[in-house]
Amino acid sequence: MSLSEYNNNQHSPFKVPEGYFESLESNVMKRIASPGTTVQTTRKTSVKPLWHVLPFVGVAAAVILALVIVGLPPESLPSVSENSATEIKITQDISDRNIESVYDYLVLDNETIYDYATE
Amino acid sequence: MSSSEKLLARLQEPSTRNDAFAEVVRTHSRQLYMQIRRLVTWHDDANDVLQNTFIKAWQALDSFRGESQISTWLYRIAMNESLTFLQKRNLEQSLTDNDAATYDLASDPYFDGDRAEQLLQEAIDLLPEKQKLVFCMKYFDGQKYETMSQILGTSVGALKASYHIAVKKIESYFEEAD
Repeated sequence: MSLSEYNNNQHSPFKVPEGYFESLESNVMKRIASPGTTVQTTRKTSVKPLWHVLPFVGVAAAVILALVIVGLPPESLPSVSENSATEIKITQDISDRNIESVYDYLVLDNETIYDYATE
Repeated sequence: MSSSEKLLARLQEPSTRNDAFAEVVRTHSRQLYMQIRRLVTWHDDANDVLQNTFIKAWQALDSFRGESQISTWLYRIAMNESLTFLQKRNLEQSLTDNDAATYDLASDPYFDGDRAEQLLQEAIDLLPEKQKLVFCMKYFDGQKYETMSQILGTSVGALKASYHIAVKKIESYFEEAD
């Protein structure tokens, strides 16, 4: 079929929820009366698995770890367990919340991250 | 004084502005909604963009002097809001697990088209953002290239080329679907 054969004048394929246009006016006027509000998109999105940006995470974690080890006074370093003289546990919490602070630390803007993640 | 001049005067007067703007919303929402919906496909997104359009129009009322019809002025805002939304949505989709293909138009309760209409909307949805606007503005809204050039900030020649390519892509999509 070509576009010239398609009749675009007769029927709109789109429907709206019942009462949508009737309530639209009051919804808009309410928002106008409350300045500073922004539209929240109703689509729910989920972030891609973290492994997409793991290289950034790895570098950031290594940098921070190095700074922590070099910068902290001796008494702040993890102490060796009395039960295991040779075992040193270092735990890293790479939660999403900490990732944001890592990005800030490395002065990575969102655009750079997005560009990398979408390569 | 014509009715549009009277409406403009009411919009410019603080004491009557709210009522006048409510009338603008009532008068123009359906047409704007359909124009936006063609571009963004889904009702929830169209609702967001439409409301944003009216909010932006309200905020810009002081700068509207009636050089054009209110409908034309609103249309320009709507097209720019739609383009901004599409660019943002495409960026977000590139970072999420939500594949656009998982949103099945045929199962959308707010889509009531036949097979041809479904194919057309799917084909439109695959176009790059600005090309999508060019196509819809020309094909569905009957806009002149000179008008589109003013709204989109793109030369007439580029718009003609973009429209031509969009048509080819859409017809190619139809052929593959047959």
